Order: sequence, then C-alpha cells, then structure tokens
Amino acid sequence: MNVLEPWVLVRMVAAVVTASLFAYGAVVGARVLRHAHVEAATEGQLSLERHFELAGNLVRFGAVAQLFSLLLSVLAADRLSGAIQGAMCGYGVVHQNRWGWISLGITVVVGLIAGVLLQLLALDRGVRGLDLMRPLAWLCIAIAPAALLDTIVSAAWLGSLDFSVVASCCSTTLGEGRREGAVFWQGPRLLATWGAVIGGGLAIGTALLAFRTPARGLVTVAGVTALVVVPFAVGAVILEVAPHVYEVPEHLCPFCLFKADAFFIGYPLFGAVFLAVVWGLGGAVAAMLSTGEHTRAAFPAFAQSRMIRQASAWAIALLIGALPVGLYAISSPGASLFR
Amino acid sequence: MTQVPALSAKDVSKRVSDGRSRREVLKRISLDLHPGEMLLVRGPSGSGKTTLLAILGGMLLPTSGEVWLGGEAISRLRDHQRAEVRRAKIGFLFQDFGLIEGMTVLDNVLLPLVPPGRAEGAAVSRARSLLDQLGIGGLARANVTSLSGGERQRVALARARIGGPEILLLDEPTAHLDTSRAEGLMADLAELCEKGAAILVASHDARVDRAERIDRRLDLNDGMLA
Repeated sequence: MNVLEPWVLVRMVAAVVTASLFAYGAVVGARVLRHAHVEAATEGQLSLERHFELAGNLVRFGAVAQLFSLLLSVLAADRLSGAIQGAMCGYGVVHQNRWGWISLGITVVVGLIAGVLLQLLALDRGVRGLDLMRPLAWLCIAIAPAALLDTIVSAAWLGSLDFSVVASCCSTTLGEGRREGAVFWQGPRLLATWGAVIGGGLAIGTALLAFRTPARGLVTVAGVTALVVVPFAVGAVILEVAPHVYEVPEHLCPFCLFKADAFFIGYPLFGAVFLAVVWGLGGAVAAMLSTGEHTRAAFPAFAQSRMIRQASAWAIALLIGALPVGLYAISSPGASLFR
Repeated sequence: MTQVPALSAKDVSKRVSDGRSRREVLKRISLDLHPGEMLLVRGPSGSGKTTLLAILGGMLLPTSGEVWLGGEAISRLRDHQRAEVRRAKIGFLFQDFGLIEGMTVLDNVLLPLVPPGRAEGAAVSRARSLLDQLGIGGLARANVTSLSGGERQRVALARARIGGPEILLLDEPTAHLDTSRAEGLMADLAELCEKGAAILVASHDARVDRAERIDRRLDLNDGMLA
C-alpha cells in the first residue's frame, strides 16, 4: 500500500469519511422505510424525523465530500505523475494499473449521484412537509454501497500503484491511433464538436425555457438534454479543445489540461460540464419526485434556481472550450490545426 | 367559538432527561387559542407553564404531539422554517426577558425585524411609539443593563409586539410591574384582542387572574391541564 503518499492518504481519508457518512444515512434511511408513519405524531415518529434530519445533514456533508473526492482523484493522479517515471500527466497514473480507469469511472458516477442527492436535499429543505422523506431514504440506501465500492476500488488503484516501474505517457497511447488514422479521427472530432456546440446550445435553451416556465415536464427535458450532451462535450474536450490548447493535432489527452502549462483549463472546463449535469439532473429527478402537495409548492423556486445555474454552467463550459480554439484561429490567421 | 383556532396544541407531551431518568414535564396537553381570544394558563411554579409556552411558540419541540398554527403543524417544520413562522406570526415575552445586554433599548426592540430585513424606517417609528405607549419612550437610547426589572419587562413586551404578531405568548408578563402598570398592561392586551390578536398568558399573578378581559382560564398542574 502507498498510504504514506500524501495524495493517496488524503484521497483515502475522503473516501472513508464519505462512505461512513453514507452508511449512517443508509441505516437511518432503512429505519425510515420500516417505521415511518408520516401522519402520526407519536414519540417514535418524531424521534425518527429528528434522526432523519440529522442524517440528512450528515449525508449532505458526505455528498460534498464525495464531490471533493472526485476532485482529489484527479489531483492525486496529476500530482503523483511526478513520482512515476514516464508518466507526464495524470493519464500515466490512471493507466498504470487495471483499477485506475474503473476507479475514476466509479468516482465520477458516485459523484454524479451525490450531486443529485445534494439537489434533492436542497429541495427538501424548502419543503414544508415530509413528502421527500421516503425517496430520500431510498437514495441514502442506494448511494451507500456505491460509495463503499468507490472506496474499495480507489484503494485498489492507489494502493497498487508501482512507483518503481516506467509508466506509459499519454502521447504514446492516445496519440498513436491519431497518427495512424488522421482521416478516421476527423469524423468523431467533428461529430463531438458540433454535438457539443449544438447540444450545449440546446441545453442552455431548454434550461432557460424551464427557468421561465418551471413546469415539471420542461425541467425534466432540460435535465435529460444535459445528460445527453455530456458524451459530446467530453469528446469535444478531448478531440478539439486539447489539441488546440497544445497546438498539436495528436495531443488528445484530457489529463494534460489539468497541468499548469495548460493554465489548469481542465478544472473549470470539466467542472462546469459536471455541475451543469448535476444541476440539470437534480432538477429532472426533483421534477419526477414532486408529486406531493408540499413538494409541488416548493418545486418552482427550486427548479428556477437549478435551471439558471445549469444554463450558466453550460455557457461557461462552451466559452472556456471555445477559448483555445479561438486563440489558435487568431494566431494562425484562420488555418486549421488538423490539416 | 367555531372559528379556526389561531394556535392549537394536540396531545402535546414533553419528556426531559437528566441522563439517568426521564421526567414528563407536559402530559398530553390539548388546547385551542382563537383569534381575538385571551387565554390564561394558571399554575404554580414548576407546573410546566414556561415549557408549554416555549413549545407553543415553536422554540422547543414536543416529545410527542403537534402544535398547529394557521393550518400548519409548526412543530414538524424544520428549524429555519419554524423560525420564519415564529418571526412572522408570534410575539413572545420571556419570563427572564431575554434582552441582549450591551445593546440599547431601541435595538433590542428592533431585533426580531433584523433577520427579515425590516428593522428600518417605519419599524423604528413603530418601536418608538410602542416604547412611548409603555412609558419608557425616554429610554430608547439607554443601554438595557442600566434598566430596572420593570423597565426591562416593558422593553421585552415592546419587542414581542414590534412585528405586529397575530399571536402573543406572554410568560409572567406582570411579574416585575407594580399594580397600576400591571392593570395598564392588561388593558393594552385587551385592546390588542379587540383588534383580533390571540393572546395566551401564563401567570400565577392574581392581578392577571382578576382581569375582566380574560376569556378562558386553564389550570396546569404537574404538567396536566385540569
């Protein structure tokens, strides 16, 4: 194990804290599902409601810690690259053993669920009743094993990193296919870029529409649109933005965007896309759960705040993504990087 | 009365624990307070009057049972929601006044209006008018630490009334007042009732008990309503 490596230690502490808080939330969630009778005002029910309130606060903290864990995974990969020979960026660290990509994937998915859970907890704070008690209990139960799995797989990845071997650099793996099939890559690049631009525009449009008229259907459409645009956005970052940042057509590494020589552009870029999806999906899930009287009353104000945030996040992501492309276009009087 | 109560307690019980044993301070209390009604809860010291008022005012949560205000079970709202309701609809006079030492009389009176951002302009005029009405208009800029018990009580009363609450919960409101002030206070409360306010007074002061405007009297003994 490499637990004495500071970044490994910090990431594992965050994972354990998160999993513990979610585990407590799951235990209280199970008690809610078994014993809650919302209509009753008995000692047991009121005590359960107060425990659930406490658990909600702890789970909220856990969800924030899970988002922090995602950031820590990226930071750990980036910082540990200096300790592994041959790894020029976080790619070499993630790619070094078989757990790296699985761990990152699970952390992203659990982070997304945690983000949505945070949105529902925020909606719940505005609801003047217990409409969301059961759905939140289910979600608390669902996220706990996912967080535990994230802890285990992250430990497997970071714990089995071998600092004595020479790792693959991103350019040797990602650039290879690009060099061998330059024509082939044009298709996915154009598809991803135009998909991101058009999809991002659509996501902004639907979010603004839902902001203006926060109907449940519209908010759901805006949330689903945000989710659909994600693969295009990530594809565009890898195939269009990254090459333009380094002004090298074969440079397809998203991890290099987290480095200082790329002005850390990866953090706000991926961060904006991630937040846009969290707010969009959070709004959509809230729309689906807003069937009770109290939740319906609280939903419009909640939805409006999430939709305007979603639209803003997409706008920021598009602007940041367009920046290196625009700068290259200015510096190379209109010549394409990919010719 | 058949109208909807302004404030209701339904089977409210409160148990407290000292770590070794549990004691039931309130036992299945149910009561209604209607708009325009003045209700007196009588009882000796330690009978649970202050606890009952704190629960009715949303400052303390019952162990079981519910408190309803305007069609909403406020005892089951979240802390911040209950605080909003309390600020908007309830005026509370604490037995120990609960004034902030080191602040002026005027600032103490305006305090409930600070969180909702209403402690300016008209509110200052209203605060001064309330202080005049209670005979302490000249003390508006004085520090509360320099006031006597009776003056502090009147400051606390002005603070309870500053937001124009629908419901006034008063814990021993005459404890530090002389007889003429106590009668004046009861006359003021009667006037508020005429305007539609619902007032619940917890007191074991005979001067309050004698007030004509009291609509109903309830006796609380050992946590139970007689």
